[in-house]
Amino acid sequence: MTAGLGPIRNHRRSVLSAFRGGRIVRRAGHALAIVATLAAGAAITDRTPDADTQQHPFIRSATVGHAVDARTFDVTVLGVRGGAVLGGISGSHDTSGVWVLVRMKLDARTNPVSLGYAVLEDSDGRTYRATGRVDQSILGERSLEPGVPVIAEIAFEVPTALAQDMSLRLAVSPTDQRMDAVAQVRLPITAGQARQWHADKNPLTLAAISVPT
Amino acid sequence: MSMTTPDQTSSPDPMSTGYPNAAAPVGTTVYADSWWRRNRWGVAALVPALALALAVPIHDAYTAYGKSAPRTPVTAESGDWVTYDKSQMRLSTMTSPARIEDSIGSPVTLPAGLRVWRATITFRSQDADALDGCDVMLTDTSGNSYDGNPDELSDLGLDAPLSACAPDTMSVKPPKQWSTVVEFLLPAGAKPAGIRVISADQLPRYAWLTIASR
Repeated sequence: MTAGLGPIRNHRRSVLSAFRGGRIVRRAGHALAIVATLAAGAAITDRTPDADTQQHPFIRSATVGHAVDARTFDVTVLGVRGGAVLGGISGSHDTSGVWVLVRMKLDARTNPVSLGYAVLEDSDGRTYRATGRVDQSILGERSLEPGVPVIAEIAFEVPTALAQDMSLRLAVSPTDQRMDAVAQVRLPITAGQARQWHADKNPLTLAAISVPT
Repeated sequence: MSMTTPDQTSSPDPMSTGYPNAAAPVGTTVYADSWWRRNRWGVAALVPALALALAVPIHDAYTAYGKSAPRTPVTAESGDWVTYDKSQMRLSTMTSPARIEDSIGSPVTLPAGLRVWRATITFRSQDADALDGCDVMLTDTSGNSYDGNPDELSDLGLDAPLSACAPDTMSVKPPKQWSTVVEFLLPAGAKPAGIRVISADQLPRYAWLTIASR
């Protein structure tokens, strides 16, 4: 039964040997393909912008007196004033820095929209949110109606030394500005003005929200 | 080098090990089934599996997005009853009053370029609370939307009801039919097209009350 299998076994051994050589080449090819794929993946990852860059907000800039389109609303900064004391329903609020009050015109574009995010940002990227020490109903609580502009004032509390280096930033979402438009307006505050405001103890009062006539 | 069909009858099947076919004629080398052939069913199953893996999150995200805003109108002919959220409603009147008064009856002068529109909406329901908390919005012919009873009108001294949909009553036995008055502030040139009544738990459906063209 097994006598005739000798030549076949010998032949098989030689074929297996040749095949093993081919298999090594094939496996080397596979390894090379894996290394090439990993290298390509690493190169793509290395060159792809990170999440912060991909999802950064779209900053729309303008100067004081000019409207800036923040996608769902327009804003025009009308002016800025400041002082050392801010009056409110609950009394006067002093500060070790300076109060900066920004007056602006806001106009929704097509749908009612609420202003949720208002900060002053310095050139180092430090942000100072609109103060929560006084009631600021323009933020979050109130809807802006399209075609019905309102004039409002927002108060910020910032270090005196940085007041000359501030830009206003406004957006709809209070927490998430990723890939949304953010209006930015550089505030024309000088170092001398900031020092003068810091020394001014006359209480400031936030202007009431109004519809321009 | 010639290739032959693998011998399916030999046992054990050397094809399954990836080795040459020992039963093949001397001088020829028969290679085992390719990886693709051995894994053909797995590869075939991978296609619908990948499609499913992509489709499920897309479907979920799209469904959540669809329900996040009023997108599907429930409507009827102008002046007819619209059935929505266990209730029926219709637009009874839509006017732009020439004289606006504040809560004590004193005339109010609107800022230039603005106009008030006043809608009277009649509701019928066995459950007067069904529509409590709803939103009423006006849409103009350009597609812009406006809140009912906006803050600007309150600033001018106009009264705003607690709810734009629910009956304004503290009665123990709520009415089966009632009306509400909702006011809107629009740019003078805007033309109202319809009223949207929106219940959050009914999204993306909303009631669309068509304003008769003038």
